[in-house]
Amino acid sequence: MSQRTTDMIVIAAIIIIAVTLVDITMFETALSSGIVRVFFALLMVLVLPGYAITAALFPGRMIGAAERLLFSVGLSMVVAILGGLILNWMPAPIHASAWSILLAGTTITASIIAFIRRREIPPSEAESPGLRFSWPQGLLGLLVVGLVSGAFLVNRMGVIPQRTTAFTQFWMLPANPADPNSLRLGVRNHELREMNYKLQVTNGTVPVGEWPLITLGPDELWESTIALPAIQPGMEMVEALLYRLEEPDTVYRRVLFWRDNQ
Amino acid sequence: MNQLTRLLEAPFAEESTDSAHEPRDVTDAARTTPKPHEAADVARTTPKPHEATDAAKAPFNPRPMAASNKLASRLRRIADATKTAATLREETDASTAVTRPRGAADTARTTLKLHGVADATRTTPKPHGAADAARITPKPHGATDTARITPKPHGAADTSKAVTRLHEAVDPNKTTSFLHETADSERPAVIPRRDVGSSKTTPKPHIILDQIEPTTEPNDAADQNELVAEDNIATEEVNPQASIQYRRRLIRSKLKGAVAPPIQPPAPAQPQPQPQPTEELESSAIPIPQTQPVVPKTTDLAWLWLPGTCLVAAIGLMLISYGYSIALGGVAQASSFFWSGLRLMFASVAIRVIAPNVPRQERISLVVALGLGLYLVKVLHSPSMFTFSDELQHWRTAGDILRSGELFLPNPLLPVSPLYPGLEIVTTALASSSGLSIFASGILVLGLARIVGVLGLFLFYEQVGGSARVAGVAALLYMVNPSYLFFDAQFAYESLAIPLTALTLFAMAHRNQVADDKRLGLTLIVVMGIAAVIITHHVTTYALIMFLFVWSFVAFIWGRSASGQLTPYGILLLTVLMSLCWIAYVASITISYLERPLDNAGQDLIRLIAGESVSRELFRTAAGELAPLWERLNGFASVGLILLGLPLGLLHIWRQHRTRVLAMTLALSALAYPVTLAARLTNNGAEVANRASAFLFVAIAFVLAVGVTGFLKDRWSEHWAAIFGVWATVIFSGSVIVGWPLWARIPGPYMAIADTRSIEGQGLAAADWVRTYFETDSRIIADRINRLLMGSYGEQRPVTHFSDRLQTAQVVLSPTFGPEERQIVRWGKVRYIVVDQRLSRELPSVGSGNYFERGEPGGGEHTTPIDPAALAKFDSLPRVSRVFDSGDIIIYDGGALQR
Repeated sequence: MSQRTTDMIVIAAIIIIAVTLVDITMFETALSSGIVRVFFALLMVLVLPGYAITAALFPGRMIGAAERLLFSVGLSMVVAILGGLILNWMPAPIHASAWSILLAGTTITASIIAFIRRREIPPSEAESPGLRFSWPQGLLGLLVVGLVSGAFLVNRMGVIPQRTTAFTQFWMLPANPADPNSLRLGVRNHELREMNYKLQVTNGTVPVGEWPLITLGPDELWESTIALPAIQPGMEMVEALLYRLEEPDTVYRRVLFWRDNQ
Repeated sequence: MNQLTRLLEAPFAEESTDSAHEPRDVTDAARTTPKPHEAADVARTTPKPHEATDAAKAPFNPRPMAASNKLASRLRRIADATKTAATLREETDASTAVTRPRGAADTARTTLKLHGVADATRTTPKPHGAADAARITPKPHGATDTARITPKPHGAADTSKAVTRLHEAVDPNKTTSFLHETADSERPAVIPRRDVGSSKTTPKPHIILDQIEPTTEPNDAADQNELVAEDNIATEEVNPQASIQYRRRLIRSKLKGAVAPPIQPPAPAQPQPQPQPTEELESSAIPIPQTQPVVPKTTDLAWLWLPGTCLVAAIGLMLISYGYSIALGGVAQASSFFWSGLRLMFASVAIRVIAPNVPRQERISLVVALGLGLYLVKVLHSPSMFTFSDELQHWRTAGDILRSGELFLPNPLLPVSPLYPGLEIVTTALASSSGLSIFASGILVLGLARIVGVLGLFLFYEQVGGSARVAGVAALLYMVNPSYLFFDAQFAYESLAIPLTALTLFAMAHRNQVADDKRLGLTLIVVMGIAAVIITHHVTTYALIMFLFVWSFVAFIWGRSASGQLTPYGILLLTVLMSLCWIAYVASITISYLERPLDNAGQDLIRLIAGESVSRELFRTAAGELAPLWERLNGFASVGLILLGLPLGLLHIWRQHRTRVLAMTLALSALAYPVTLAARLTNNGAEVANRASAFLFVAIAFVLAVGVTGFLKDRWSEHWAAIFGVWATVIFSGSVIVGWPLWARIPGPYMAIADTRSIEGQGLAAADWVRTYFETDSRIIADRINRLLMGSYGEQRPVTHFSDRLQTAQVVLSPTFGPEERQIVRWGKVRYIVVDQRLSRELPSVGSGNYFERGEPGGGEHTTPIDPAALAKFDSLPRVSRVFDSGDIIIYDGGALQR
């Protein structure tokens, strides 16, 4: 197998694997969120179409590694953009299978053209230039990757918690929009610690429900539906008050709902 | 002389055939199906211009000619030098002898210089080189050959020197020193075809470095290693070719008589130090004679530079990351880590990139690494979600495409976004294929786009400036534009459109350097690239059109089309037509979308000039926060250094590149920079100026790079590297200060209406809750931040003045809820009202001092935060339910107000 065909065969193999993974994972298999799928999808969308088109347009040693990299990634994006526009005109929605057909079709077609065009040029001109690095450079490169990874690790420990604030969500909505006599209550604990709550519901001034202790761990959710007495003509206000047991006399959250029978 | 030349022409064909006996040339010479142009090479005696240009271009197609042709051209050149020497002996008095050692390559160089001399004097037509020189028609816009021959500051092309060098010309033993010197020097990698000649007759190709002594084929045509190989070839330690060359030269010298000094037989193979990779122009055209000091050669540890520099840059990134992570505890301390890391990253690469003896591959790797590193600075700022306002707007478009499988669905946050869906298409293609989230897919897409952008600009600059050093410095200096670090790294259409434009520009520039039969592929890339840019971003499209217009203007004024140079007229027309079609059939609202800010900026500027308004206070946020003194000084210094550098760059462009249409186009474009500075003095103009910088710096970076490299040409030392590093880093950090306010650079505690600093857990959780419990696209009123969150992650439909022409801010800001507010709610069919209690504690930091949007009551002039009573008024409104409470964020159901 000469070098002029090797990359084309590798491309074809990757495309077949990528399409298989994309289509199989549509059925929720174990690979549906795997790194393998991500890797092959990345190649299928952002590298291979451009690489194959570049090979088809410049079959010989007309371009160097930098230009090849530029065209491979850049043209892949261009193909995706123009292809997306074409897919939008098709009756089928733009989903994974449509993308795999479009991108795989483009890549394989361009690969075939590249293969044919490369046969017309001398072998010495058909070889693709590659980048060369020495092993010490590779080791230092790994060190750089390690440092960048470390930067992400430090960042993950420090920055993400900054956007995490402590609070509690409390809500009251109609359980059924057509039925004003049934309300849904909910509490979610975002306090970053376990919390004990007390909940009271009144219809006007009449208590209609009380939960003396609701214990929720971090990020836990509590929901309940309350049935109210049949509404009288006019408007009634249903009020729900949430307390923290550590401060039982202070209203922590308050929601209200107007029942309107006019 | 003619007889001599004719004698020399005869053996060419024979020698070309003979070259098949040389092992390396067997393939080329023995091919049974030579390509048309190769076949023509064998037969013809005068190379065609496009072939010469092919040979000259870098890095494409470095070996276009068959080996036999190279041999023939070698012989031609040597003969040419000899006969020109004889001509000059007759015409000039070359009495001064220069004992500076010169080699065979010098012969070629001198020959070229003397072509120019002979242009004006000789009348005898020569078979090739000399005849070409005679054919050149002097043109008012500067025949380039003449321009090159015109004595330069270095005295390089000085006629008398050139003549005296002829005495030393043909000396094969002195080749090495010249090649080293030439390779170290700054010189054009490519002489564009338009530069080659100005007449309609076949322009004479300049002698190409790799045609001087090419005896082996390098492994990697596009690599800097090629030049190394050529340098190695020139030194020829073990020299099987040398004896062959020697014999040929000897025969030729006998034919020519006693013009040249005696040719020495090749020295026995001596172990010599390998020349190191120096300036990296794979195939340089005319070697410009240099008087600059010899640049120190790289050492055996040269391989350390690339990984070492990347390591230092990675340490800088680590410092920034640490600064981010401690920002909650104290922004001031975090800021020092941020700046230390950022400057370390930039300066380490800048110092290396400016050095003259750096391989091309290393320069490319360094600028790409820096581009990626700066992108990671933004990624680390918000590592788990999009938090910039533009990002949330485009997230909505991507989410709609992913959810519905359709393009062009309306986006209430940014109506124009779905009409330019390029970025979202690529992102959703990856997301749906890989199963990744929109956020993760967007990060990957933009990371790769950053590589495309840096590479595209580098290669474009290399085409324009003819030097990898200029290209590296220009690509580096492009990164100092105020938008680069954050704005053009965010998930927004411009972040992809600019890299696609860079790709297209490179393809366009490179079309000028290749033969006709190779243009088709590049033309296809240009057309596809332009189409993709048009689909991706409006402003980038118009910037590209402007650039093509200026390019066309310069090409028209310079009148270069006659010399065979491609003009951009066709591309300009195509781009305009495609853009108009897109506006007419898809994105008709673009004009009104862009009209407002441009109109406002223009009016502000006019008022400022007319003295009807005062300039805005620089470095002060809408909330009244003034940047520290050092930041203000750095910001002014940055602008000042750019302004100082521009004239220097323009001067060098005029001296070195004025015959290059693209270089002059960039120079002309850079002149718009001062205008944008004036716009910064107005409120509306500041944003326009910031946005324009991403495009203007394509030109400014090139002008500065030419200026810097030209300035350092004759005075290079390590000290200058440090000075350049400081200069570039001051500009860079000043641009970051000018382009991005202090609070936005570093994540930290919550701030009211401060975009990224306002995105925190409570607002995100509320948006998530809304998405779960409300119907999609329920109509809501919310402040700037919650509108973004509810409209993107919450999948709701905000009602705004921008999209609905309703002053919805009044509903929240008004102290009471009266009939007017009720009418707004009814007209807007508003179902939910989101109230953020934190707005009653702080003034807005962005949005020109608006809590909601421009034009709100008291907008831009808030001196106190919103009255808490105004926010609490909904609690007392009958039939308005308070359905959600998370402490600061309250959501009211105003559906009953519709009745």
